[in-house]
Parts: sequence; structure tokens; C-alpha cells
Amino acid sequence: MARTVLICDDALFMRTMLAEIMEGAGFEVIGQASTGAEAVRMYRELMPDLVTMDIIMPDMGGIDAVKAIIGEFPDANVVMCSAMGQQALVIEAIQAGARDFVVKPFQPARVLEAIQRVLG
Amino acid sequence: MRSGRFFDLYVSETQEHLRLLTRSLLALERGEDAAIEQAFRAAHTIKGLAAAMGHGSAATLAHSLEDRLSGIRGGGGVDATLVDEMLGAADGLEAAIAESVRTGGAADTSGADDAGGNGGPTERAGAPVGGGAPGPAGGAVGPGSVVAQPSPADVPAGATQVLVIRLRDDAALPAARAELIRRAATGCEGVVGTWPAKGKRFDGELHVFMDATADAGAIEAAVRAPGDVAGVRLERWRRRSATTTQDRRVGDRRAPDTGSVRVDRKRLDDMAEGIAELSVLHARAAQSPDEVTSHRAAAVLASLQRMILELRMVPVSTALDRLARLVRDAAKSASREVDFEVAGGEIELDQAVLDALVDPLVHLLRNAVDHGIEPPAEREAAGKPRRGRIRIETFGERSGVRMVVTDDGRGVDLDAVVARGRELSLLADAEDAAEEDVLRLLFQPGFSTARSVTELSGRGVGLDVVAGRIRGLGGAIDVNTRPGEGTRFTLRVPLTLALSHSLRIDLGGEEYALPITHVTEVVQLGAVNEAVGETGTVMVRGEAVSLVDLGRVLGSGPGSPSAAVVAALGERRVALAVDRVIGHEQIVVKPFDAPVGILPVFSGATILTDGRPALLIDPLSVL
Repeated sequence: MARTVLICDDALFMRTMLAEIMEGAGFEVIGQASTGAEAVRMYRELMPDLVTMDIIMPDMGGIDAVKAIIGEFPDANVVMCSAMGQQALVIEAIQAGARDFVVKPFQPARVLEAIQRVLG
Repeated sequence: MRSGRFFDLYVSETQEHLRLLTRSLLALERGEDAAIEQAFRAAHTIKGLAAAMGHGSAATLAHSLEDRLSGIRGGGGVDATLVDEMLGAADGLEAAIAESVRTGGAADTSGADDAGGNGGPTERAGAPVGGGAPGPAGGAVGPGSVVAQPSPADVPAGATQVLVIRLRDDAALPAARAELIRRAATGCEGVVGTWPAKGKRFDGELHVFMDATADAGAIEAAVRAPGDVAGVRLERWRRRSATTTQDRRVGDRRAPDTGSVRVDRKRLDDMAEGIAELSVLHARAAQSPDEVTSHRAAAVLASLQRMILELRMVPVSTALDRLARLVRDAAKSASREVDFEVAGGEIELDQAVLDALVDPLVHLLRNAVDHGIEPPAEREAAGKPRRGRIRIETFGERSGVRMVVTDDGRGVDLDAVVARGRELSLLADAEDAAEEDVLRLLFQPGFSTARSVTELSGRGVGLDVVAGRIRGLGGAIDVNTRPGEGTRFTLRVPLTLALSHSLRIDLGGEEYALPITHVTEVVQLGAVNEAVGETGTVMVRGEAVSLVDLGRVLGSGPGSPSAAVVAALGERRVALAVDRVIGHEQIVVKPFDAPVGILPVFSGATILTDGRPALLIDPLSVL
């Protein structure tokens, strides 16, 4: 059975690109969120195997969303999606429990590497 | 600012202890066994300072030095080679400090600001995904330098081995990746710590410290899991030894200048108080000027001036200690045996004056070693002690400092100087020149530089440069020599460059300032006058002193001299006839770019208290 993924990013372009990469590798994208608050709500609803989380988003940023999700589901697999220059935020997310991170612009191989590392 | 406001303090303190270290190493070499304790303490202190500053390479060097010293303390014995090695390590330390000053205080493991300004770890620049052209690494790691290493202080207790995890060069957000690895590692049994610490600069290598119980294989698997790992190596933890011994040119050693001084808090408070009072006085004077206010303002101003001047004062030993090292190295390379002594090192001088004195002193000391002190065998043959002696003595004087550099070498070969002087037409052939005139030739531009030193078989190399520098400071230099017994240079410099006590004098209706550094007294010229000719004399305390008509020197024509200002350098004295001595005041000496062709008698310019500009006269220029 395909592993399930929730994509969270406020840019449609990014969501589309990530979805394409992951579906191409056989993952099932079961939801897309465009704000942190939406991501937390959808996580509860869908219980995906993995979430990709953008950092800067309206209505609850990625860091707070990670904290909320991990606070509720300590075993959640969250992979941060970061731009260059956000290293401090990524470290904060890792300290909050994020499992890994990928850096924009996305390279399919890198994204899949990270996801496979996390899902084992 | 990467390392923040403590950096300057770190540099100045470290330099202080480096000086102490060098001094005690030299003492150790002379057989003063007690110096070992001081050397050890200095190395230890530097290690602590460097570790606290996150300056890993310096801490490592200091630690290895401390190790050697503790070996000696344990009865290891000292020889010249060992001292050489340790001095080399001290050089390495100095270079490490200088390097960190050069890079603007970016210590090799210092905490750094994040690109997003959040105070987190630094991103390695030039590591975009997919590898664009790598940019310069962020600050601390210059071209060709190695990855920062933990200092001994960073190694947790109980660590016996270390896994060094190297990230791929193209790893994106390496510090974030390191954070993932750190998290993976800290979950493993036997891991006692990691380095660099969270939030510290990450330089591409993460050190995972393990105790003896750790399963290195299992831990390696765990730290590889987060990805982007280029390699993992296992090291039994050991201290790295100093390897940066550099063979630097003698005389190149100069402490890096941070341009900072340490200020006692109390003193700052006093100064702030003085400024506050001045503002009040200023406000009062604006409303109703009166004499009391003006006097009080003058008093406060004077005390502020004094306080600020004192801030700039440093003991001359801060520079002389470095010169001890120079003498030792120069003696070694010239196969001379030399004892170097410093007296009066506690006397204080304006840092700027002292800095400017270093080059001339280096010159004098080198000359003393190379051309003054004879080879040991020659000395013994001449019935002198095998080891030569060079001594710098500093004396505080009324308005300046006198520094006397003495050696007990062969002295200046006066005949050679005379011959050279004739060759250059500086001495008339027939003239039976007085010794002091001959010696003064040494300070003439180009006198000795055009010819090889050995031919001159004396000294004088670049002495014109030395004399120029000293004069530029408003100082003066003089030389005495005794064939076969040695040479003595006497330098006089003002206490400070900024402020100078001077006499205001009147010459043909013009006012001039005459710095009193070299002035010993002012005498009234009586009505029944001693002949004031071009080279007349005047009686000063029972001795005849040449009297020079300053008006004639300046070309302002013969005036009506009423007084003579007596200036002295060493045993030479001269009296300058002036129309009138107007008074005495503190002046601020302005930098003086002398136009070509200006009379050498002028050494600078100043603004007098009434706002008019005046030229400064160097009384010794007529000597």
C-alpha cells in the first residue's frame, strides 16, 4: 500500500511541484494545505505517513504548525521545506521535532532522498 | 559583529600574556628556572581566554605549549632547541591572534549571526543545492585554512575517542544537517558530547565525543542516517600539537593593533563627570561670562586633558619585551652572544609615541647586534667578557622620556666615518673634525646606505632614517662612542604626540612655538651683552654655551634679542637668542607635511590660544 503524504505550502506552484515529484515516486498525496492552521487540521483528519511543511505561511507559520503537530502526535514525520537563508528556522523546527528538511528550489532526487530517510 | 564587544578585550589581554610568555621563555633560556611558573601561567591563561572566545586554534596552541612547560616543570630540563620550539609556538599564537584581528574578530569557532538575523548558526555560503560556484566561506575560514578544531576545553570529561563527521561540500544548510546528526548521535549510548555546540558556527565537521563504552560502529551508522555525510573518521581523542611554527623575519613581529585600550570604569566615570561639569559651565558662560566660570572651566578642561592623556599611556616595557625577542633572534643568526637588559620599563609613554619608537629601536638594536657586539672569540681576545651586553634604559624627564641604548661592542670606527665623510664631501679634507661632528655624520641622509656595512666597519646603517623618525616625533637622537668599549644612543621623545608644552616666543614680530621637551632653561641676555654673533657664546651656569641668533637662522633678520632659550641633548647645549619669551602654554601639535625646501628648523605647526597659527621650532635642529 502506498505511503500517504500531506503537502503544506502557501504557493500552489510549490504544492504542484512537490505532488508531482512524490506521485512520480509512488507516494499517495492525500491532501494539500496552504496555511499552517489548515495543515494541523488536515493532519488530524488524514493522519498521513508524512507531512512536507513550508516555513513562511499565512495563518500560522510552519514552525508553529510543526510544534502543534508534534505536540499532539509525537511520532509524526514532518519534513521542512526551506529556502536558503532560513537555516536558523530550520534548526528551530528540528529542535521542535521535524525529522528532516529539503531546500528550495526542489531537486526531485533530494526530496525523495529525504522522504525515504524519514520513512525508512 | 561576530564576536562582539569582548573581542578587543580578548586581543589586548591575550597580547599582554603573550608578552609575559615570551619574556619568561627568554628568562628560562638564561637559566632563570623560576620563570617556568610564570610561563606556565601565561600559557594557561591564554588557553582559557582563547577557549572562552571560541578561538579554537589559539587554544590548541596554548594548550600544547602548556603541556611542554609542564613537562619542564616536572624536571624535563631546558635547552636552546626547546626554547626555540616554544618561542615558535608563541609566534604561532601571535599569528593566530593577528589572523583573528585581520578577519575582523571572526574567531574560528565563534557564534555567528544567521543569514535571517535570528541569531542562529551561520549558513555556509556558497552551498546551494546542485552546487553553484562556491562563494567565500563565511568569514572565519580563509583560503587555505583548515576546518576549525575543538580546543581541549571543548572536550567533555570522559571522552576517549571521537567520531569526526564530515558533511558533503554541497550539503545545503549544513548547520541544520549537523543538527539532525547531532540529534541522532545524542540518542546513542556512550556519546558524551558533540562539537561545535548548538548555535555555534559549524564549519563542515561535527565531532561526536564518545567514552570507552561506546560502540563506534553503531554510532557511525546512526550519524550517517540523516544524510549528506561525506565521511566519518574515528580518532582516539588526543591533543593536537602546535604545527604553525613560522620562520618569520626578525623585526616583523608586531602585535596586531586593535586600536583599543582598556579603561578603568572609575576613570570613565570621572571623565563623564568632567564633561558634564563643562557643559554646565558652558551654559553659565553663555548667559553671563565671568572670570570664575572661566577659571573653573580651565581647571576642569585641564583635568580632562590629563585623564585622557593618561588613558593613552602605556609602560614602555610593552614594546621593549618584544624587542628582547628580537635581540635574541638577531644574536643567534649573527652568531653573537648577547645579554639584553631593560631598565625603567615601567615608565609610561603615549601609546602612539611608543609605537612610533619601535621601528627606530629595532634598527638600533639590530645595528648593535650586527655591527657593535663582536663575535665571542674576538671579545675574549680583547679581554672582554664573551657575552656582549645591550641595554635599554628609560628615564622619565620633565616633559618627555629619555631612552638610552647602550652596547659594549667595538664602538664606531671614527676613522672610517671620517674617510667616508670626506668621500661624500661632508667633511672638508683639511678639517680636523671634532668627534661629535664626525658622529653626527652618521645621521646624514645617505651616509651609510650607499655602501656596504663591512667596509664602513662600524655602524650607521639607516641611522638617517632613525634620526628622521625621532625628529618626526618631536624628539632628538644623539650618539656617543668609545672605540673598543661601546656605543650609546640617547633618544629623547615627548610623552605624547597630541599635546605638547611649549614656549611662545617672539622673533622679529612673529610668534613661534618652541616645544620645551629639550629646553633646560631660559636666560636673560644682559644689557652688557655677550657677543651675539653667528656663533657667539653666552655664560649659562658658569659654562660657555654657543649662542645662535634664531632670527638669523629663520632669515627674519637681526632682531633685538632679550633672552636665550637653552636646549640640551646629552652633553651638547645650545642657546637660542630670541626677541622675547611671551609665555608658556599647552599646544596641540598639528601633523606637518613639510613642503620641500622648508627650513629644517620647523618641526610642525599649531594653533595658539588666540586662534592664530604658529610654526613650531625644533631647537635641536641648530645643534
